[in-house]
Amino acid sequence: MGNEEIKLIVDGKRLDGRDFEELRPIKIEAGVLKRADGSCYLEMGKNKVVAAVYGPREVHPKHLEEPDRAIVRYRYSMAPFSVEDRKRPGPDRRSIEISKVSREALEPVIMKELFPRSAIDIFVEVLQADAGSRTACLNAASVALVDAGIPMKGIVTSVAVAKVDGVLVLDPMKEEDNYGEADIPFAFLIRNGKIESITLLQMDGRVTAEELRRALEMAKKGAMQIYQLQRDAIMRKYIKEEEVVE
Amino acid sequence: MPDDILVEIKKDYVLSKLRDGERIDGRKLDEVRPIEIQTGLIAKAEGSALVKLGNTMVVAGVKMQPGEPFPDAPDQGIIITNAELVPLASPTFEPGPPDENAIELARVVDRGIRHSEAVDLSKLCIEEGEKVWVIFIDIWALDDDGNLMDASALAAIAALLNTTVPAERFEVGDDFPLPVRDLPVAITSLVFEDKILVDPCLDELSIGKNTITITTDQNDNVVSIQKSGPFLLSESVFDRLIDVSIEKAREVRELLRDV
Amino acid sequence: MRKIVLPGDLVSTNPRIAGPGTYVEGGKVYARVLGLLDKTDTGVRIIPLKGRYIPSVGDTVIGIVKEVTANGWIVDINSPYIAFLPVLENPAMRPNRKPNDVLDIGDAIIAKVMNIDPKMKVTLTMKDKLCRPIRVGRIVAINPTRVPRVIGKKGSMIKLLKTELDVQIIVGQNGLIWLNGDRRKVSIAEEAIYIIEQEAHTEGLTDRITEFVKRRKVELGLAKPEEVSKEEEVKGDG
Repeated sequence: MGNEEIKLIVDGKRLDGRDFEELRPIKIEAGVLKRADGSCYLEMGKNKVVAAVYGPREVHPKHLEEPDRAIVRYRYSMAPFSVEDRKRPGPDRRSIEISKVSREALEPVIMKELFPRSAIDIFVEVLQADAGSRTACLNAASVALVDAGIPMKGIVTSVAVAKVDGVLVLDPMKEEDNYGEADIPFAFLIRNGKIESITLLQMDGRVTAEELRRALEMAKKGAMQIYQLQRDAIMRKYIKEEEVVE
Repeated sequence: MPDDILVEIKKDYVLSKLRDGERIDGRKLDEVRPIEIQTGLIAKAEGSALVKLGNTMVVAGVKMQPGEPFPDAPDQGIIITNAELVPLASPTFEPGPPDENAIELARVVDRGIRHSEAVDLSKLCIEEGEKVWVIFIDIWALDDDGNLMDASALAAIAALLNTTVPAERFEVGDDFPLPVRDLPVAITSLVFEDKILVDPCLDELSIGKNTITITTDQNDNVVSIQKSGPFLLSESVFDRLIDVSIEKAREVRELLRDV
Repeated sequence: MRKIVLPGDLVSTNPRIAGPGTYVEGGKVYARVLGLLDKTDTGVRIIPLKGRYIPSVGDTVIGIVKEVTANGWIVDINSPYIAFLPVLENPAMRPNRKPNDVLDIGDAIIAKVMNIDPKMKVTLTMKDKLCRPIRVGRIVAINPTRVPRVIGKKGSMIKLLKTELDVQIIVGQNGLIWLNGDRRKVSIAEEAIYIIEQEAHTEGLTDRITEFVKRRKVELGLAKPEEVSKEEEVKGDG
């Protein structure tokens, strides 16, 4: 990481014209699939992802079931056409790791004890990838879980912070992710309009402890904006434009 | 993974001692277990290291061979890290391809080495655009008493410190020691409510496989973070973890300087 | 319209009135599912808008037989939990009859949930006047969380459909509804049920359904237009 030839910050602005703390355009739509119990289509910059939730449902294979709770499974998958060089279908090591940490970001928020001997399955497909597909997927999965009526403590919202040309920026896009000095994806549990805890945290690159703390603050602000969009997407399914609620 | 019945029973014991601020093996909350590092034990490997972290034991072997560079880095060597949680290391490990835990472990160890730039990859070019050195780091777990992550990270960097580039065998020049210019150290802590247990042993992990691994370089920069486990991490615990991990990594790094 | 809440929304600071669909933490009451907030001085609950059917003892359910065993029938009740109807709980069983002569794979039944054990093993019974094997009529499937709206306050909605259309309706808590009667009237009932499902969370639904049913009866030639407009005159602004 770190490529001196490419200037990622020009005249105080990022390559795509954004401010340092500006998110990419986001579009969220809940309940887009018929067969799934809950679903969500989400665009974050050039990322296009679809999330589906099935459950609670019977566990297959049966030996995986837990007598006193639901098991939670998360599958992050990239379509072959989602990236520049065709990606062979099937889970690769990166997808497996992302699936694991994403599941762990949602699991503590889901009230699993309400559904013994069942499974809550979350599937997310990346149809078009740009930087931050794992954060886009988590945001979509979170909406899909709400859409499925799964009981949860709150909503999970995810966003990444990167360090490019020595500067911290929110929600990196592709060039910033490829040529930057660090990439820090976060996910938070948000409840009652407040950030409660961190549910996903990884860091790839090199930062000082002070930069790490600043990145956390920046991510929190970005997450609150995305949270509002997640809420709006769900509400939109039930409230027509003419009806104003409070 | 099938449950290890003995570990479940230890859970209550760990928790009751923890309420008094104590650990079952008498360690302080931020104390790392005794570490033993042996290098050069595998003759056929280009570099190797055996690490004991308490009872946890891991072997890392480095093999090198020439290979094609990546198109976007024609003059850079390549590092490939793999880990196997082989069945002999634990009653709960099953034979088969690496599962999500093995994959996560390898990728986190890899990130620590890569982002600390411990190996100067530009010194591993044989013929630009055609041939570069490929470093295979293979981590083999031998005994899982908790925190295979830190033991593996230590074994990997120790093995690299011990590595001789086999130029003569491939007839591309004279052998030379692999240039290692940083000492990344991973510190994994178990998080339970607001308590941080540094370097958890297996019995301690029975209260929940909820850990954060923070890897730092010799300048105290953070080069990798991995939250692992389905738990809610509070900001205040995270804030304390940053400082604890940097401090403990400095202590462990001293052992690497002797390697 | 009732307020829609999402998981994690604060709904009360009084833990003593926390009801279904909420959870308590740190002395505060939060919503735990997507739903409609129903808050009074004595209780706060969330009426879910989505969710799979989780059985409760006493529920009337409609199920499909999946497997026949010597001891009874394994029944799919459209839930993460499969149900079992023991032979002794089926009044149609006689000593000389084999289970698969009474109910076979693919048969539909109306049954009641008799027992649920802590591991969510569900046992059914057919020893109740509502229960029967389904041999005639139609089964309609809706989102189980909308069932209360199909039934209506004190059964008002279901009564409306029964009287307007003169059809038999048995509503399963698991989202499956049995309809029986004149084919065209059953079809109107089905359409009405889907509308109720879609608009369960809105106001004025009973009136809209009444209007809809009357209009469809005219369109399908089951009623004369004069009958409809006379009632509308009496009602005034609809």
